[in-house]
Formats: sequence, structure tokens, C-alpha cells
Amino acid sequence: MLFSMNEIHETVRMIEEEHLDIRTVTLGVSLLAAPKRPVEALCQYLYDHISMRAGRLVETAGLIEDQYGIPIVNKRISMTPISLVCEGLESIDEYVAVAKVLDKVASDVGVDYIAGYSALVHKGATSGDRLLMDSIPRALAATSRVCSSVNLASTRSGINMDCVRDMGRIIKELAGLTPHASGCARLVVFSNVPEDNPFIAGAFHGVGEPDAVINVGVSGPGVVLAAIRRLKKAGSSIDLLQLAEAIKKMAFKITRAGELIGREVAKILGDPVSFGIVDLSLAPTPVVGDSVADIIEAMGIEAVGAPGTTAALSMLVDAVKKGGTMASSSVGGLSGAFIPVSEDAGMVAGALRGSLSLAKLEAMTAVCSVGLDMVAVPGDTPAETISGIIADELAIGVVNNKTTAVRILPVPDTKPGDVVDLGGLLGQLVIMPVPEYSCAEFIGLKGRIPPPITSVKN
Amino acid sequence: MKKAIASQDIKALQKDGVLVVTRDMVLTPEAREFASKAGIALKYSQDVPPPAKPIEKADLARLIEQIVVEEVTKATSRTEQGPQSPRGEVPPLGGRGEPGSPQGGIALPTLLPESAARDPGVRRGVDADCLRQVLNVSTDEDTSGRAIVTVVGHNRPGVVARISSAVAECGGDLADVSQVIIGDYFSMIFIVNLAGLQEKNLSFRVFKERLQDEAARLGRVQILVMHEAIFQAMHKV
Repeated sequence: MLFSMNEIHETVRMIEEEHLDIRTVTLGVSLLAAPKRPVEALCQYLYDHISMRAGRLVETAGLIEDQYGIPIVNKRISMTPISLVCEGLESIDEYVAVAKVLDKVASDVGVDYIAGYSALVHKGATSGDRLLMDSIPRALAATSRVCSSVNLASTRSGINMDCVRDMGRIIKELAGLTPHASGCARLVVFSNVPEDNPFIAGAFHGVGEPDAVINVGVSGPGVVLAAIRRLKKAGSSIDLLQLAEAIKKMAFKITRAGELIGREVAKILGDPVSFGIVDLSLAPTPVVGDSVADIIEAMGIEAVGAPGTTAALSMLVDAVKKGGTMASSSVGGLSGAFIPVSEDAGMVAGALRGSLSLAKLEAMTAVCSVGLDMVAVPGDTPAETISGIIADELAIGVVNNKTTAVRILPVPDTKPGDVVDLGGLLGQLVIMPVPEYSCAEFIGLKGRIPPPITSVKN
Repeated sequence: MKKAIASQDIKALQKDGVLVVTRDMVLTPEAREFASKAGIALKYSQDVPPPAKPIEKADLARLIEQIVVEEVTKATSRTEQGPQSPRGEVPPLGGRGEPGSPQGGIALPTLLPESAARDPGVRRGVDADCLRQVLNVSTDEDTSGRAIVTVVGHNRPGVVARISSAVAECGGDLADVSQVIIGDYFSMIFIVNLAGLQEKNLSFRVFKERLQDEAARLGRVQILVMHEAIFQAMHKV
């Protein structure tokens, strides 16, 4: 037989029982050719161009889903950062109008999210960047599918603390404009943002990218978890190398499936759409058993957040990367493991029982692929404290030459330990306690934290 | 978005005991079972839906204008004491077509033909491309190579015969079969050559639905139909 019974059963089991799915097929669209003004012409171009490029994305993904039997959970669009496209608009209101038109086109072509309402301000902000950032609360509150991101720092340029301070205020403002601060789930701040990330909310279509490109984000914590459990069941004494090997093999298979789907979608969409990258991040869902925290616990940590968690996570992420890069030469995006607290049933349990704290999460982000993701804090947390949390997280990214991010939700009228259900893939927010000591004076200092010595490489 | 069809929808949609299943419909397993019990034949339509149609140009222009005017005039009334908005004098909806509108902004109605004239060829080309590609999808693309059909369920006489004749009906050719029977249960894997589907002008999707239909009629059987490429990708280096 062409494939052994075992191989066929394995694939079927991975999809049917272990929640293997393609988390997202994201179409990146370049909008650099957009006219700058008047704003009506710009909006018209955005609508026409995006609907022309993405008109068949959802239908095509459906066809591929049928053919290969792997569910594709989300279909998304990422765009050239809107701050570049809209530089030249003169008021916040015009930016909000653009966001509304983007929301309209996303809903008309049937995608789940449209991302790229973004600005890159790691070294400094232009007047357009500032307008875009100031428009974020109103733009996200007025839309339901538009996602926004701001790159505040990079290893090469350091941390733009002026914008870090502004973002603390902007996040608080947005939290007040949307129920349960849910709008903040569509806003993320970055250091060293990748230009080809297919995952929301941080996706955008980088300026180094072609006209249109398909990037794929795979999922599959459930598959890795099942592999570890099988290994533990089979052998009485397993060592760490065997564990790493089991994770690598699974990551290989998941990545291959992702690449196949991406190439096929790009082929059917046809010129000028090309295949870009597979982002082989393990992306959890609120479904029980599809959790990165569960993997860490299966590796022998009693509760996620206990001592040993960071080491176990680093080993997991490394094995995933090695398996993935063996499987595909087109690995990109964030690639590693996500630890969004609310979207991962195991993390939610950890936060509820108190084993997982904000401080431990921050340590974990030093070795995982992104950062403080979907973290909820009380709504009365001062804006400066939020800026401080952001600055800490970005510093980890800048010094370690990696991407880090913060997606934080200050939920109004809550206190630590409260639970707020956002529903769907966003899951359950557990409000985490924040240290009460202030960093307001430090955050109030103007300017930029200079880049680390490791940035001087040329 | 596909429309999910449940049992009660089948009752409503069927005509003379026949339900035409189009590409934008997904039947729930219960609905399939209901259809087979009620003797309603499922006919799979080969019609390809037209690609998602963008909203009419004129409507869109109106909508954009409405959004912009709404945002900007709202702002004007908010900042009446110090009008910072450069478009502070935007006339009410519908008034922008007049020549000499403030700020020398191009009025929308004249903008439309201009933007259409900018790249008329591109848009026409894309539409034709879309059409060709969609047609390709339902004929060539889907039906090259082989499908792996996995059937698991309660054993009973005639299972193999029913599934394999459904495969043959669609033009599929059984390349390999492997099966295991444990007590009352069986697990079976067919490898099906898909070259014949093209002669019957059937898409992969119709083939898949035809087999799922057969499994629903058999009852207590689960069937999965997947293209071999996914196994190739995951298990072969």
C-alpha cells in the first residue's frame, strides 16, 4: 500500500481527535499604490483593491478544506500598515472613516479579521503615525473586524518610550469604549515585529513583501500533547531527548500540512498571489486538550507557572522550531508557541488557581514566540503601569533580539480573580493582580531607550 | 459562508422528493440520515457560484461618502470652538457633486469614472481570470491524483459493496484496499484513483459528498475522504 495503515490512521486521529487544524490562512495585500487624497478616493481604492484580491479567499479556503479534510479555522487579510497608506490624511476622523471602510470590505468578502491598522514607530513617529495611534480607540470601537498593531521598539533602534507612554493611555481609552475591554483583544504592541506574521492581531503586510501573498498559521498543541502522553504511556523511563524528538516529529508533520494548504490556496488564487510562509506556532484554543499549558503539565510540571515552567517551555519551543524548519524552507512569522492566557484552557486554570502570575508569564515570554498575550488586569490599573508592563516586555525582546508583544485588557469594574467570558476563540479572561507600586516617574521621562550594544553588528 | 442544512430545511427545500444540493450548502449528518430515511434523493449541482460580487460601484461611493461625511461632520460639531478639521465645511450628504466644492476636493461622481479609467484593463482581466480559475477548480485541480477513503464503523453485510459501488459510480477506480475487522467493528481504507472523475465531470467535492451520503444511508458508519497529498506531505520526506 502507498501509505501504511498506521500513517493513515495517525493523520485521521490527529484531525478528528487531537484538534489538528490550520489556524489561519491570511492573504497579505499590498496597498502601496493607493492614492493619498482625497479621503474618498483613498477609501474607494481600499475597498476595490481589497475586494478584488480577497474576493475568492473564503471560497477557495473552503474548497481546500474539503479536499484535504483539514479544518481551516480563520480566513484573514493583512494589509500594508495603514499609517504608510494614509500618511497625509489630516484628522483622526479621516482615519476612523478609513477603518470603517476596511471593516465593511472585510465583512463583504467574508473574512474573519482584517489586520494592518498599524504604525511602525520604533524610532520615532511621524504626524500620520500619531494620528493613527490617537484614532485607534475610536477606530476599533466603531468596527468589529479591524485589528491594529504598533511596533514600539526594535533591537536596532531601542524603545520609543514616548509612544510606549501614549499606548498605555490609548489602551485604557479603548478599554472604556468597548464592552469588557474586548476591543483591546484587537490591539497589540510589539518589539521587533515580523513583516509576514499571519496571526491576528499583529498581522500586517510588510513593505518588503510582494503584491499579494498567502501566509499560513498552523495550530496543533493537542497533537503534541497526545504524542507526549503516548510516549509516557509506552516507556517506563523516558529521557528529555526522547521527549524533544517526539515533539520535533509532530511539529514536522503539522508544518508540512500547513505548507501544503498554503501552496494550494495560493495556486488556486493564481497570479499575482504567491505562497509566503508557514508560521509554525503552536496556537492554543479554549477547547480542553488544545492547550500549551497542558503540554507543559504533561512534561512533568504540576501546574503551569510552577518553577520549571520556563525551562519546559523553552524546550518545547525549540523542538517545535527544529521540527518545523526541517519540514519547510518557508518558515516565518512568529514561529514557536503562543501563550495567550484567555485562549488556553490550561492557562486559564493556572491563573484561576494562582499558579500563574504576571511575573511568571513575563519570564515565560523570554523563551516563547510572542509575549504577554490576552492578559487581563483590573480596569483601574493606571495608564503608566500599563506602559510599564509594556516597556518591560519590549525590553526582553530588544535585548534578546526577538519579537515580543503585549496584548493587555484592562477590564473596567473588575478586581483580581474575576472571570469575564469573551466567548469564541478569545476565551475566558481571568483578571490578574498587578503590583501596586508605581513607575509613573520613569514612564514620564521623554525620549528613547537607546539600543543595546548587541545591535552594533555591521 | 456556507448554509447549514438541517432536517427541517430538507423538508422545506425538497421538490417532488428531490433536493438539489448546491455548493453553498452543507448538509448535517442528521439531515443526510433524514433524507435517506424519508426517501428524498440528493442531487448534487455542478453549478459553480459566481465569485463574491463586490457591492455596486455607485452604492459603494454613496456609502464611503456617508462614512466620511458622518465622521468629519461629527468632528466639526465636536470642535466647534476651534475647527481643526481641514474638512470643516463639508456640505451635507449629496452636496459634494457640485463644482467648486470646498478645499478643491474632487467630487465623488466625477471620481468614479476617473478611477475606473485608471485601470479598466486590469479589472476586466481579473474577472476573466477568476472565472477560468473557478472552472479549473471544479474540473482539473481537484481530480488529479488519488483519494484516501477511511471507513470505520459497525460491521454488516454489504458495506464494502455499497461503498465501492458508490466509488465506481463517480468514476473512481479502487487502487488498493486494506481492512481490519475486530468483533462487530471494522476499519477499512480505500485508495481511489481519481482520474475517472474528470470524464464524468465531477469535482472532488461531489465525490466526497456522494460517499458521505452513502455512509449516512448505511448508518453507524463514519467515512472520511481526503486527497492523498495531505498524507504525502505529512509522512513522506
